[in-house]
Amino acid sequence: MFEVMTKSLAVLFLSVGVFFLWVGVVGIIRLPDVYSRLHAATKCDILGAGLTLMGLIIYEGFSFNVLKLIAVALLLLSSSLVTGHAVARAAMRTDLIPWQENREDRLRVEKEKLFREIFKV
Amino acid sequence: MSKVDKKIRILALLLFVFWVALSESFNFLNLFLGFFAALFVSYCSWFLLKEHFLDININFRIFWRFCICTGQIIKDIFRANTDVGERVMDPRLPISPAVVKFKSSLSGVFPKVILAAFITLKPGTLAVDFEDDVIYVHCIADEFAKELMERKLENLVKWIFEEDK
Repeated sequence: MFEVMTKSLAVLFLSVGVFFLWVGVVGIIRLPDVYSRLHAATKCDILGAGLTLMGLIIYEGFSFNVLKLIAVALLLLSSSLVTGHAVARAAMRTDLIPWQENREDRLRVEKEKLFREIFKV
Repeated sequence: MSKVDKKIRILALLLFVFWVALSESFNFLNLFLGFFAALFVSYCSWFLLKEHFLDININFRIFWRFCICTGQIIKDIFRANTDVGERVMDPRLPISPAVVKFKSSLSGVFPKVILAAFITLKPGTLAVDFEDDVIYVHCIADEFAKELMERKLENLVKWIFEEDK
């Protein structure tokens, strides 16, 4: 009985994790520019991979492999944040202006001017 | 024991724990080899790490406060993901991105890095660039910029690193 419960809990965690990874992929396809795509990439990566690893930890039970999985989870958490930041920074340093809503042109020009002023592009 | 020696020992201890976790055995030869390998690697790699590692001052109190905040961070991660999911699944794609400047009053480098990481984990915000005290933050919608400007997150980081006095 206990085994059935832990296995089903593991499957639940795995499916929720895979769902969030899928959300991240849809976000990368649908969102308009680098910065907003990074939102989907970094955030869904962390939770999706984290929940998947959590499911594996529950499935594995008490063993040395759990320590390895925790190490992988910590590495993923830190590296995902850092790579997201690095890509965004590289995009900014190459003067990529963020996508803006399709408002009146005048407003958009003003916003872009302000942006150039702030970042000295 | 000097400050450098203490930090090298902490690094060696972490490497040793990692060695034991990966090698999966507790026999004497393995632990002996692991101990010296960890010490050797930490002394050899010290010249690479010293510039950044010496600034980081973590004591037990800061670590404990960080552990207390973990629940809130996990809640933030969940909120961020459900928010991204809602926006992405909506056929209208309700986003209105903006880049805002956030001036922090934190002093150390390590607290600033932690603040940037928290900003990225929060729903709708992404830390883009870093210049001295200013963090440039990309917000996916305007309400997140307002939420960021309430400075709750900065106060949390200040509380963790005991800079609020």
